Amino acid sequence: PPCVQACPVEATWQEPEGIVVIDYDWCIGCRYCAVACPYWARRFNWREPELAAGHITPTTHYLGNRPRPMGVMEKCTFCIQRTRKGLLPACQEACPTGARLFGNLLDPDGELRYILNNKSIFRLKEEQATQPNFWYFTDV
Amino acid sequence: MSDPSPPDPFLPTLCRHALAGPPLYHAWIALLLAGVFFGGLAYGEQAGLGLQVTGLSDQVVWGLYIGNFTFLVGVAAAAVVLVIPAALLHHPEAAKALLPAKALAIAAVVMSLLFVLVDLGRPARIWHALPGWGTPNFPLSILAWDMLVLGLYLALSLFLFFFVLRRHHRRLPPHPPGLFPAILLAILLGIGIHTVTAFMLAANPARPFWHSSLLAPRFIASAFAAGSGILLLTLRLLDRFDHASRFQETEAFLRRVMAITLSIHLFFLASELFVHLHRHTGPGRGTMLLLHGGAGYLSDWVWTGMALNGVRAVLLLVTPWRRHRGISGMAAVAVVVGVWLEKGPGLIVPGFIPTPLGEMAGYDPTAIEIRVSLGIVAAGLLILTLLLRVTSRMAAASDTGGNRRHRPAPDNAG
Repeated sequence: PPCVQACPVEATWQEPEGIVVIDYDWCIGCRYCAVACPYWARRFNWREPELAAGHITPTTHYLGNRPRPMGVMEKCTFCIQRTRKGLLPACQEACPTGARLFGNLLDPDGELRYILNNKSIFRLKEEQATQPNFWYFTDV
Repeated sequence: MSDPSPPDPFLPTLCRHALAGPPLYHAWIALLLAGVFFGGLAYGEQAGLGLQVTGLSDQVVWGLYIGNFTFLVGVAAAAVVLVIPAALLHHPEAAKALLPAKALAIAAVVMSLLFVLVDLGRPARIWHALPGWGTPNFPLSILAWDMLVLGLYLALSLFLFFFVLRRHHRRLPPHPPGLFPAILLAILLGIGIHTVTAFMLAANPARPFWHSSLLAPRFIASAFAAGSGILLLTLRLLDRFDHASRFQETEAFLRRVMAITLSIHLFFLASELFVHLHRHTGPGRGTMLLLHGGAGYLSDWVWTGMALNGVRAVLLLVTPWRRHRGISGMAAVAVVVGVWLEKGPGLIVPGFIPTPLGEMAGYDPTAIEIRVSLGIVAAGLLILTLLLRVTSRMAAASDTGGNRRHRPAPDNAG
């Protein structure tokens, strides 16, 4: 992905299961990855976060949902602290219509593979040749 | 002719020449130090509260700081405007102005690096980009490449400057043949730093406003135009404060370079505009917006920049006007301001508007950003002043063939 190529200090990379992660302790905050991203998927922490004590989940992952300090980049981690334990991402659990799906591309019997094979699918900004593991599908 | 006693030791002489001077000199240094101090205070606020105190946003992530960085890398690269003819074409008039050119390069690179530093979210972590200690992302990250070549160019410029200065001080021929490889490397790196900076922007298909093969050539052309303008003004200043007119022919040479490179740059600009605006797709949308006033003050800037370009092109191409001191001075100032407008913030900010998802955004630099920027400019001018001061004191002494330590104290730089 362009962001992984852009980072001057290798603070962001693609994990083996396909999720692009950021090491918040290594990022220098230059925001070049945000410049390179065609999807506006990366955000910068412009200020110190305001986290109320007692409102922070104790289940955090180093590369995921732990509190991010000021001056570093962050992005959706596909709830790495949940998906690596076999749970669904929080957005998929929350969605009332089942419009979101997270799954294993390599599983031939999985729902994800079924949708990719049988539904009308497209990738956003396909001409940018970023090959994201992110599709939109429709039933029609 | 040769003084039997050895010349004074180099470093103490350097310090003496840098620090001693008439009241006007001390007042100028004090002013610059005050500027650096107040810029430092503003940066302290930013470091404490975070980059939220700037006008940057999730949509426009780079602004005044990176705009100034881009412009100043061009100024640093343009020092080779004189180094190329001096070293490769054996142009004697260019060789005379090597030291001021290197001084400008050093000051410009330091300013560029400072602008990157103040733009970082975690500047103390900059060592993460250093080979050995950190993990620089070679060869994939163009930003990593940019830091590398800038560092090399700075180190080389410092070496060349002090080496040649010391040769002047010891009344040796200033450019021994063995120096040629270093000078050649400086030329390559000088072009290199600005090309890599252009690639850093142009390599992003996500930003169609920059995604053009013409960006790097355009950068070099405008850098040479603006750089010769700044060099011209610098040499005029040296001549004035030195009460010597050593640089007349060099200035004439620079005026010709300015005229030619500016014309080339305008041709590149016209080419880009034509392609962008002929069909209103992709990069054309951003450009259209910019030119048709949709981007607020940015549009005013870009139009002013282009108008200045046009005016000074005319001024410089008409020979009697070019030769006139006053007009060419004004043209040089117009070149510098125009290129800053069009290549600095005027290039960086519109790269983010509209966003990749089509959103219109805005950006206004805050007072803190402006104060920090002025502080960095003051720091750069301070470095430039000190370097030019020792150049005019020490290179002048050897030019007239004598070690001046026997002369009484009052100096002639009033």
